[in-house]
Amino acid sequence: MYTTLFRSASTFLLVAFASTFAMAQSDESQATPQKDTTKFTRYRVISPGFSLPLLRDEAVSPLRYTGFGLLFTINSWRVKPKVLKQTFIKVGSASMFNMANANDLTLFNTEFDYTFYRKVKSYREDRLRLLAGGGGDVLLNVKLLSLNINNQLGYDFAASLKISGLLQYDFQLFKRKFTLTEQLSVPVVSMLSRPPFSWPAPYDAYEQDGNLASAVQVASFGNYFRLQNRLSLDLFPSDKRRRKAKHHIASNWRLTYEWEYMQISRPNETKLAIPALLIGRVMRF
Amino acid sequence: MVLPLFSIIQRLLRNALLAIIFLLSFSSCEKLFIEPDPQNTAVSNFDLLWKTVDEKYSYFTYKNIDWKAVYAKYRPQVQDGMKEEDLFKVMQDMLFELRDGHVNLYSKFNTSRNWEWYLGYPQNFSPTILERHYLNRDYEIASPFRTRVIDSVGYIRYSSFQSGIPGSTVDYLLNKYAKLKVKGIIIDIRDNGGGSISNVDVLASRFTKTKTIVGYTRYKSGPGHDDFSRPYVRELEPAGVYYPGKVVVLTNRSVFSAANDFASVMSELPNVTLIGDQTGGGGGAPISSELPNGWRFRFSTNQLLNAKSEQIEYGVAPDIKVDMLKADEDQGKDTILEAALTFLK
Repeated sequence: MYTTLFRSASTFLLVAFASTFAMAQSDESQATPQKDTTKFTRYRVISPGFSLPLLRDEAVSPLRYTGFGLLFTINSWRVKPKVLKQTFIKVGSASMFNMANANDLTLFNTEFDYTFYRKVKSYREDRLRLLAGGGGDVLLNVKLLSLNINNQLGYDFAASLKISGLLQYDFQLFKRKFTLTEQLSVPVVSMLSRPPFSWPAPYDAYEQDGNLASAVQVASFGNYFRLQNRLSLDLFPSDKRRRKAKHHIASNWRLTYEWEYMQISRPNETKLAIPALLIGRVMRF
Repeated sequence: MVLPLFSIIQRLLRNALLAIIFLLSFSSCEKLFIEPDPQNTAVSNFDLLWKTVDEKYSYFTYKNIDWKAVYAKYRPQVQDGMKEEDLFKVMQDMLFELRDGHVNLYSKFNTSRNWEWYLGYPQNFSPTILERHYLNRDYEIASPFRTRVIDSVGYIRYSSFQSGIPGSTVDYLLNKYAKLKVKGIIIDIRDNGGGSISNVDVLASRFTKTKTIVGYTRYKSGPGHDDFSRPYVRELEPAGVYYPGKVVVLTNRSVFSAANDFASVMSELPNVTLIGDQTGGGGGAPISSELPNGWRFRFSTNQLLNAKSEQIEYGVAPDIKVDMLKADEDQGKDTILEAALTFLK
């Protein structure tokens, strides 16, 4: 039942994204073409944080593993009135245990992500902005189980092309300015690598030419689903502080709640969810 | 008429999208997507063990095992609430049906095993006779090897493939014995219960001059009992110092797993002769899994084949079959080692 619910929700999301994106394209085509000569404004936020991952990987265990992790992200973006380009680097590690508390798993995860957004619509005098776009990401999860024999190591590698949406809302609360940003990404087509069905190394790893073809597959929604959901709250400095600061826009704090879910169905189903909380200071450069 | 309808759909989509995005933002619904663990009951633990083995064990067809019939035989003996020692006994008996030394169930109070591959056969090795009558006091311990010259033959004893082999040590020994112009090399792997297959290649690669096909590996590729990958070629590449002389590998029924594989690989090389008893087997490399009650288990998930594509799960036959004689043992003689020394003279 959950699977059906999950598939329905994801299909709906995709359709919604696609239609929004299509509408954006048609709006742009109707407008008078104008060359955008504005320069990009660049920002960067370096955020440490913690995560509470939940994992099940049939290649290493039929049981769920849960635990506590630390992560570190570098998020850079360049903005024009109608365009936002974002790069995102994440490195994390978590110590996890199963329900029987009889085995330990160490999870390492790293990701590089590039996304291009174009403004689709704005509402309420440009205080609510909807952007849509896409990009690519590369991720690697490594799972180490010290007590396993031969299958101590599990891994997922994915290089994906994805579609993304971003919603930004500026608001005021107690005379302070905030911006709420919601980003959502779903991969469309990916190159995947997982341990084969019954062995941790690619089947042909020992063959003459060291060909790794047996470990690589091209996948789409049928075999690989990933949802990245990032909700950020930017807290701007008070007017008094802003007047003192050199770059009055760029000294805000950013609190990010990230929820990521990944599922690969074959070979050996694996599911990984990582909720995380991050905090960092936005720098303009 | 079309335009207002389009506008309504557009507005609906937009609102739905916003609602879903914000709903997802504030929900950590991972527990919804990732199914709960199987229950920690006797029945659930038994079923998970049976199912995991059913999908991934690699020798059902080769050994003609009806795993469904095994389930029908043992499942009625399991009831929720039974003592964990009793559950262990049922699971142990079920796994015993696989007749596989690579299958074990580990709990805090016991480890199940099937050691019939050597218990039903003569031992054909006496460490006491070897140490007191052949190695004596002046042998060398070179990394994992115990070694010396016995009757103008270089003797190398390797007791476990779990002990790493530095290539430089093998090269040193082979250079040394080549300079001493020994009549040949004896590699004694009797009672070697296996370890890492990478050590097999390090040692065996010194006895081939050319790249040689030494076997194939078939992996379980799906849950069906006959779902296998194609056989992947396993080649042995020359490395380090090449020893061109005669080589004898001593074997017995306690040679298992990686040591069994070493015997198989060496038997493909033209200047190598296996002397002793058939090896114990263990032709499938195992992987681990675990149960909700914290017990762990391992089982074979692939098939190592020799260069003729034959199974080595039940062992590798020697070129020259020799058993230890009681009369020799009483005189402190190792019949198999003596046969090897005679063969090399």
